[in-house]
Amino acid sequence: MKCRGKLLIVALFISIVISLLLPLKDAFSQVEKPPIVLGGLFLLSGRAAVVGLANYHGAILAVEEINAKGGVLGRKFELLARDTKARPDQAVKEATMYIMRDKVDFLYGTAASHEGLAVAEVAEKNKKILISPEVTTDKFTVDNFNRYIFRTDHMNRQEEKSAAVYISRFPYKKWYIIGPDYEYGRDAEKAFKEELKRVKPDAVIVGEGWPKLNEPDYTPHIQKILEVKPEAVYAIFWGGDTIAFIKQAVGFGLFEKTPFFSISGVGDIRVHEALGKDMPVGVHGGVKYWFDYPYTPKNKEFVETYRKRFGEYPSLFVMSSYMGIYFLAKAIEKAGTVETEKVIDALEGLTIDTPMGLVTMRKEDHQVIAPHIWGKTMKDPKYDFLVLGDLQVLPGEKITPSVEEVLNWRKAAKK
Amino acid sequence: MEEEDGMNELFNCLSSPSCLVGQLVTGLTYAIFLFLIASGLSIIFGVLNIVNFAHGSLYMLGAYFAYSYTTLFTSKETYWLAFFLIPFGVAGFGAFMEYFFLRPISQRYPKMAERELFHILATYGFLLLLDDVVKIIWGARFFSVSLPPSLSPKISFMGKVFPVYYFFVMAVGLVIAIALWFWLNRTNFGRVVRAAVSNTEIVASLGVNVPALYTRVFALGAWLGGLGGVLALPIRSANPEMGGDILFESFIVVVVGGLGSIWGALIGAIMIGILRSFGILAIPSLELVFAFVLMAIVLILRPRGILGKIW
Repeated sequence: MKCRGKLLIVALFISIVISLLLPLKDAFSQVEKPPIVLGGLFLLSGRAAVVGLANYHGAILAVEEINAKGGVLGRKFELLARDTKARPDQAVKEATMYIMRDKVDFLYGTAASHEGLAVAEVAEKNKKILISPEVTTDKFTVDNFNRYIFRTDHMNRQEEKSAAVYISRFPYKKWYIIGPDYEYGRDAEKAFKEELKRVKPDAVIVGEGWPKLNEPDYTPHIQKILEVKPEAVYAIFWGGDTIAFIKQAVGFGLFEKTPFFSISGVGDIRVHEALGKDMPVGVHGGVKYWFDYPYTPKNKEFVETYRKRFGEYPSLFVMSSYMGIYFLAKAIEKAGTVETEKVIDALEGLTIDTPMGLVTMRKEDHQVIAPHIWGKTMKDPKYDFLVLGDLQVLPGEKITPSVEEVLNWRKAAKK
Repeated sequence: MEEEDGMNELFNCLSSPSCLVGQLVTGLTYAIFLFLIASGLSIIFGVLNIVNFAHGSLYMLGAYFAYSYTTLFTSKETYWLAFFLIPFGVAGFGAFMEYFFLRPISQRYPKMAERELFHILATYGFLLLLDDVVKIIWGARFFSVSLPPSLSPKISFMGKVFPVYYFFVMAVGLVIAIALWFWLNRTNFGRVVRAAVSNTEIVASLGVNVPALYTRVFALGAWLGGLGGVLALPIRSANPEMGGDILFESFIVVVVGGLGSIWGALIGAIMIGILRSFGILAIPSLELVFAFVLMAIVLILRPRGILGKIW
């Protein structure tokens, strides 16, 4: 009896001591500073899920790399991620919850034009920085520009100018334009026509095709192109549409007769992988990132790390997102704080070294000035898909509208 | 301006035999895909009174199964095996769906209005489920396979080049249409099915196992949908959204052709396919509108559809 009683008292004493010491354990582990929280808004469902996922993976890789080196200002990045479902109301809701409930330090993401523009308003209202790695609409940095938003993706105008400049190096005059019939397709076409006229005034558009987005059957359009017999075709398809169009067009011999130029479609590694040996040789593609360029150790390392982490080659949608996180990290370092206004000042005019080379965030419109790459598909024994070769790099300065142009467009938009 | 050029193009094409043929062939091929899916939808509705919202998903499963099959067994002509086997796989899935989820609803809710509502909820649930299951198993990427080598060669026909595959698809469609007609009108099974549609109670009291009949018919509908998916894979790409896309257009075809009618589905599909092919020439930006306008005209003039029986 007495022994057991003593045992009980000792046990009780020990458990009391432990429960008093336990909270102290947390106090010791909290020598670490609180994380910098990023509210990530990604397109993770629906048709563009491939794009959103690439954005997300690019961001994850950058965050992990930065954290492995100790984070920024001794604080680790914490990347939250929510699916915007490509709906602006959903994106706004998530962004607002991030700010109210999760008290994020920065907003990161959005890919589709409408959701980007919607969240841009949220950012401005709440004085939070939004960095978008994927919104391409010119409006983001022109008509709807506000101080708090930054874009690490190319704007439509840059891509279309790059296309026009590349195309001006070829003798084709009679062009057929085909693209998905929605805002991006129409915007891109409008910009392309304007830029083409500037660099190649003798070019003529002899026909246009506007299949719906994610059209499963392009054959009537292909027939029409064969009827019209243009000297070359300019296609604004991306992702799955490129795959379907090329598959079907190959069957009708389109590529044997007609040079084909694709913006952000050919050059997307996922498209090359899906088509495999069915991809025609000699079609032109223009992209913001091709994994095999530049041939620098930094890029090689990036591709290897990405492959190891995610089991596939990084596509064009990965780099803009990877870059975005690094821009933020470097800006916070430069500013020495996460305070919004100081980080904005640090971001403006910031140049960082990325696997793509040096990229600058322009001060006046918060738009990155980055190179754009064009090339032709060709076989490569190293891979079982076709690669983009004969690369021509158009430097950022050559394809970006001048500050003056942007300011004029803004003025015109305000009227 | 666009309209003027468009109408010019249309007239030019109509007066040029090669262009005419080109657009006809592409229109008919498109129509056959619609027909395969729509006929399955129509049969299921005609016999079981179920609007199968998951029908597009069955088409999708056909495509994905065929993709996995052809990538697992890589011999030159695996596609043919897939062509013959995969639709039965999808039919099996359809039977499973009907037996475990739709039949219990029919048994528990004898009142037609309730039953139809719950059937719709169940099939719609499958649509949502399958869309996500596909993404989980295969991922969000796009998948495609090459044309089978025996169907890759190109035929020159009136100055235009077509892959043999497109004629193959048209042939399949024709064979299926005839086979379905034969089945429905000349076989015992078909006769029993028609009787069950007219008067279920009498057929049941004559000793026919009506629930088993229903499962078999549902499986047939699923078979047709799956076949559509297998045929589509080499010339389109398999993606998680393909079910929703084709379902939408199939409903239009079924409304135009008449719910419950196989020939109606064929006629409706052909009308929409041809209209689309030529419409694209005339007014490129209004591609989507043609099918809707046709549907609206049919609904106004003949609400039950061109060959519709049920309404």
